[in-house]
Amino acid sequence: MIIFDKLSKRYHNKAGWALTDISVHISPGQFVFLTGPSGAGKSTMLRLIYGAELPSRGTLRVGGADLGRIKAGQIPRLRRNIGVVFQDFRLSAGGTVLENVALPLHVAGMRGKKLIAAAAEIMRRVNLLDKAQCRAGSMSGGEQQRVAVARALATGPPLLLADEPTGNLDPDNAREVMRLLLDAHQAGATVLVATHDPLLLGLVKGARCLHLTQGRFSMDETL
Amino acid sequence: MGGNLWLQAVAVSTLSLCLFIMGLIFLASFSLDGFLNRISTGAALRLVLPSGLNAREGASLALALQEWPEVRSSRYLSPQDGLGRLGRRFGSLNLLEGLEENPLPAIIEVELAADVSPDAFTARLAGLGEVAEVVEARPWLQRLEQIRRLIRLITFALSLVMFLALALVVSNTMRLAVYVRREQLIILDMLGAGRFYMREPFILEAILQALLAGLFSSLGLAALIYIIPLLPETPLWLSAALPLGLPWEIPLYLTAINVLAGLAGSWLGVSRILRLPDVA
Ligand SMILES: Nc1ncnc2c1ncn2[C@@H]1O[C@H](COP(=O)(O)OP(=O)(O)OP(=O)(O)O)[C@@H](O)[C@H]1O
Ligand SMILES: [Mg+2]
Repeated sequence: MIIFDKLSKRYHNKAGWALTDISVHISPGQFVFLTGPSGAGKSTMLRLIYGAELPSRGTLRVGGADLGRIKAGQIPRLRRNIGVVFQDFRLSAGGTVLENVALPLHVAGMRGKKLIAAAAEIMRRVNLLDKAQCRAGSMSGGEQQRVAVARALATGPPLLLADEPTGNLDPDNAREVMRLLLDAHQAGATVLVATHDPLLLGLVKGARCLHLTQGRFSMDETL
Repeated sequence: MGGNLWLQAVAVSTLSLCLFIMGLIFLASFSLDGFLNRISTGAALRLVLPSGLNAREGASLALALQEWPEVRSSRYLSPQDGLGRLGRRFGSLNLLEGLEENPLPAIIEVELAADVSPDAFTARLAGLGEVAEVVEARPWLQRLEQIRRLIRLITFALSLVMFLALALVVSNTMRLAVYVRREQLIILDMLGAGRFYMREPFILEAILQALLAGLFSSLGLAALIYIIPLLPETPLWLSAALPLGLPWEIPLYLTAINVLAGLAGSWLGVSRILRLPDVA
C-alpha cells in the first residue's frame, strides 16, 4: 500500500534534512503509529503520502502511484482515496457540521438525497447527528475533532492519515477519536497515526509503531 | 456568500460602467458607419443628356452602361423623375409650384466600381458622344472608404483598451473572491477536489456578473438613446446621428466580451491561489 524506499526530504527554504533515508513497507490493513519527538519528521511523512510535498530523493509509492513522478492532475484522485485528520481540524468554520461532513462526498460526485443520507450515517457514527446544523466553528475542540474524523471517514477511503488527532483533547475525547479510527481499521482501512502521546499506543493492540528521531527510523516494533 | 454580496455589487457596477463606455464607443462607430452608408449611396457621377435624346434612348443608354465593367450601377432619370426627387427632398416647401416647364435635364446616375477612376470613365464615355456633360456628383466619395477604415481602426483600438480594462477589473474581483474563499479552496484541494470542481463556482459567478453587467450597461445605453433627443439642449446633429433604438448587436457583443474576460479571469484567479504552498 505504502512503500518508502531510501526516501529523503529537504524543504527548499530550510537547510538540513527533514527525513533521511527512510525505507519502510506498510501493507494494506495495518494500523501504524508514527512516534518521535517534535521536529522528528512525522508530519512530513504524512504530507508526502497525500502529495502535499514531493520527495527530494528516493521513491515513494502509494497504492500504485509513484509520488515522485505524479502529475499535478493526478493528485486529486490520489487524495480522494485518502482521509486526512489534522491536529488543527481544518474545518470550514462557517459551515455546519453537515456541510463539512458532506463536502468530501460532494467532491466525490455524490448529490441529492443520497448525499444527505450518507452524511447522516457518518454523523450518527461519530455521535454528532443532533448537532448537524451547528456551525463547526462554534463547537468544542473535542466535537470539532470528531467532525474532522467524520469528514475523513465519510467516503470510506482505504487509507486514513491522522496527524496528532488527539493533541488538543482530554482523555475521554481522545479515546473516542481513537475508537473511530479503530472502527475504520476493523472495516479494512489502513491507518497511520502520528503522535507523541505514549498513552495512545496502549489503546491499539497489535499496532505497528515506527519511531522517528531526527528524520531517521530508530525503532520499528509491534505492540 | 452573504458577506460576498457587497463585493458582487461593486464588481457588477464596475463591469457595467466598463461595458457602458465600451458600448458608447461601439454606438459612436455604429452611428458613424450608418451615416457614411447613408451618404455614400447614390451616384458618383451624373451624366447630363442632351435635350434631343428621348426617354427610351436615355433608358437604353443607361442599360448599355450597366454592362460596362467599370460601372457598378447606372440609372436613367427623366426630367420628371428629377423633379419628383426634388419635391421629396424639400417636402412641403413647394418650391417648384409655379414652374410652367420642367427646367431639369434628363440624366443618368452612374456609380462606378470601387477602383475605377472617374477620369478614365469619362474619357471612354466621350467616345460615345451621346452625353452633353459629366458632373462628378461626389468628388469626396473615394475618401469615404478611407475614413470608414480609419473609424474601424479607432473603434478596434479603443475596444482593445476597454477590453484590457475589463480584464483587469475581472481579474481583480476574481482575486478578491478567491481570497475570500481561500480557506475553503485549500480544504477542497486537500479533499481531492478536481480543478474544474474548484473553478466551477467562480466560473458561474463570472458568467452571472457578465450577464448582469451586460444587461445594466445595455439598459443604460438604450436609455441614453431615448433620452438624449428629448433634451432641449441636444444639438440636432447628435439626435440625427443616434440610431432610433439600441442595435441588437451591441448588448450581444458587450455581454460576450465580458463573459470571455470573466472566464479567463476566473480560470487564472483560481490557478494563482492553488499555487500557494500547502500549510499543513
Ligand atoms: N513547511 C516547512 N518548511 C520548512 N521546513 C519545514 C516545514 N515543515 C516542517 N519543516 C521542518 O522539517 C522538520 C520535520 O518537521 P515535521 O513537522 O515533520 O515534524 P513533526 O515530527 O511532525 O513534529 P511535531 O511533533 O512538532 O509536529 C522540522 O525540522 C521542521 O522544522
Ligand atoms: Mg507534526
